[in-house]
Amino acid sequence: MDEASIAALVQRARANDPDAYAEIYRQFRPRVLGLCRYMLGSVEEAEDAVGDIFARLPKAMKSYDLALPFSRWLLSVASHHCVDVLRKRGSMQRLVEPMEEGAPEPVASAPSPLDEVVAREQRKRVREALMSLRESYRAPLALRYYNDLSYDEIAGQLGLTRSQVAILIFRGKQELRRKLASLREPKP
Amino acid sequence: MKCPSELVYSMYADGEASPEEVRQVEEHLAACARCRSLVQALQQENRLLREALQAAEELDLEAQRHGVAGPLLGFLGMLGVTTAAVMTVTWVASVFPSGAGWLNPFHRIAWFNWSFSSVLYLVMDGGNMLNSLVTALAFFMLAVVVASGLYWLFKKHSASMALLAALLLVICEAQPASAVETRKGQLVTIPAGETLNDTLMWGGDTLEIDGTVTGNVIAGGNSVVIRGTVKGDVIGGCHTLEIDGTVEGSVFAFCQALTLRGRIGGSAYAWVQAVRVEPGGRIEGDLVEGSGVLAIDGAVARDVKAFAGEVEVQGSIGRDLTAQSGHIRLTAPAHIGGNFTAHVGHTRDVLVAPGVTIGGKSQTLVSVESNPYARPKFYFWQAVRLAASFVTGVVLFVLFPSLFGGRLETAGRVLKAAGTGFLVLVVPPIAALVLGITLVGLPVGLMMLGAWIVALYLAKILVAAAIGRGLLHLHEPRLGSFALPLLLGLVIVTVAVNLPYIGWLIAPLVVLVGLGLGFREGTRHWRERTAV
Repeated sequence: MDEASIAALVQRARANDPDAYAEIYRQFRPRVLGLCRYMLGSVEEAEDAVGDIFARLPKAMKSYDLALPFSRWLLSVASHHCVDVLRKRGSMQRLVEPMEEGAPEPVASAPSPLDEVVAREQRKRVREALMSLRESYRAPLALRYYNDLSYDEIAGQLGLTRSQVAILIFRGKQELRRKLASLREPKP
Repeated sequence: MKCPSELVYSMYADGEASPEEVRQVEEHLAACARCRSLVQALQQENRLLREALQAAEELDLEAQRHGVAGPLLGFLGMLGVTTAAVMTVTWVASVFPSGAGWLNPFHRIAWFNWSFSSVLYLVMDGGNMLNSLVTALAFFMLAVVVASGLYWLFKKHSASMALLAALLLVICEAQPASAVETRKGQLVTIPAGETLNDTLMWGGDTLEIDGTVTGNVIAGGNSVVIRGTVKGDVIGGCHTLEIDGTVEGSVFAFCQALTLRGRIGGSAYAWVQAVRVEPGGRIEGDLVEGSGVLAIDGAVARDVKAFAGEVEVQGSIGRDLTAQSGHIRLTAPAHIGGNFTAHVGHTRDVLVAPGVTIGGKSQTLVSVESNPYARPKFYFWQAVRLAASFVTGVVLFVLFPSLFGGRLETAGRVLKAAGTGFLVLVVPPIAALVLGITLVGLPVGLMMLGAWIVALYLAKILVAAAIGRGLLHLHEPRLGSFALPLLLGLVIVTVAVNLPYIGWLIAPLVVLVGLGLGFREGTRHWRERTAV
């Protein structure tokens, strides 16, 4: 959907047109579901979260600033919700725990960037590997590479400092590489 | 100049390096080919990540696949696991010495024993059946809860695990410190004149103790006959337990038949089909039992608490007799030193023959089958229990909020929860029994049993919370918005469980679903964390 039609849709929604909300749900559910899956780590919880997010959408619309692109705003609402869920779960504690400011620079791992041909199977493996990461790595990675948020925005959402986010993303990718490398090895 | 660290490159590739760092990096890249290729690879990696995560159609397909098959598979899975567990237990029971065969949970008599006692316990909603045994269980449970609370407080996985393990060790150490002698065999005898200065653990067909055992006797088998002396306690899971001699400690019996002709210095706790205290038999402490038939011709020095089908007393009871049963008969020369309280179905089920002396009060409480709903007292107690459940629920929520994540909106979920609940309902008591047989596992088995009973009580609360939240569409467990849905759900569940004609069917369903919910939510956290 192009920006203009989205804008029209949003207008109708703000005028309390129920069909508009249904259309918004149809258009944006997949993306929101995807984000929630990555953030929360399970399809079941993601579906729950999506239900909640869209149920609350009419109320949240009141605070939507038309200057922002709608999809970005919607995704940030979604990620706020996911962060809340993670916080409730208590996993947000662990996000902050092991990170002290001024931690020694992480040891350089063997650089094995993922420079293979981008195949469908490969992408699936990447997603699986991501889902198997612990939440402290998965959440920032998802917000960065699925939502395209900046480090500052991620830091704001997760309640961390910018350098903590940088370290988490760095280590997360290291961990991701390790998992993918072990997946690639032939099983004995 | 040394190559900048990978962290800096990671930030640079993300476009998030500070202007100063950007300047340094680009200066360095101009000169260093290795780092150039590293940066290129990192940027390509970012692209790949982005593409993989944002591949819309592939994501959709994956999500859909889960949605449809999930609940059904889950339920089938639970059924399969339960079947496997049942088959395993049957196999285990068949491998056991023949004497313990009756302990096979599916043996008719044992099943009757077990279900009879369990149902009574649940129906009484935790009435004070076994004073000291329950206290011991409560102590263990308290220890576990304290440990869990500490874990919640510190959230330091390894430290709390160590603490829990230490706690468990301490609890298990509360066994007699004396050495343990294990004997196995079809027929084991401790002949007269022989003294065993240890605790005796036995599994087999027949055990005869004519001599003396200075420690405890832990026995599992077909027939146990004690003609000699046991200075410690006797814990027996057997077909028949006959005590002609002396047991100076207490007796815990899980048997088909318990016959006492001798003397028990402590108290007796029995989950048995038939308990007979014959003339000459004497218990110095209390007798607490749940059984099919209880006959006291001898003497019990203190209290008797009985939950039995038939109770006949001709002997003497030093203090109170509290009996909840089908029929109670006191015939001369029965003597009760304290109060006599009978819970029966009709007043004609209590027969106190002439010549019977009762020192204290005598009251017969008839459970009014006809119409409890007409009496205000019924509603009062329901309200009290609801309030208690509410408070427990709030405390539980404060301690373990993650337990309340479960939801019941779709039939699929309810099915899944019920399937898990069935597993959780059936496996622990069987596992506890099996553990108890292995004898060293007795404390763990008891703990598991205690935890299981507590879970049965808490299950209702979980279901109530889920129902309330579902109805009010409040899905985020926050303390402020938790109380109202819980209250609403509890009211609904309490009403549903007390409905005439179908209430008794709803209650076990609620427990099943609640167990499943609790188990799934409780282990979800652990399951997802192991993905590290």
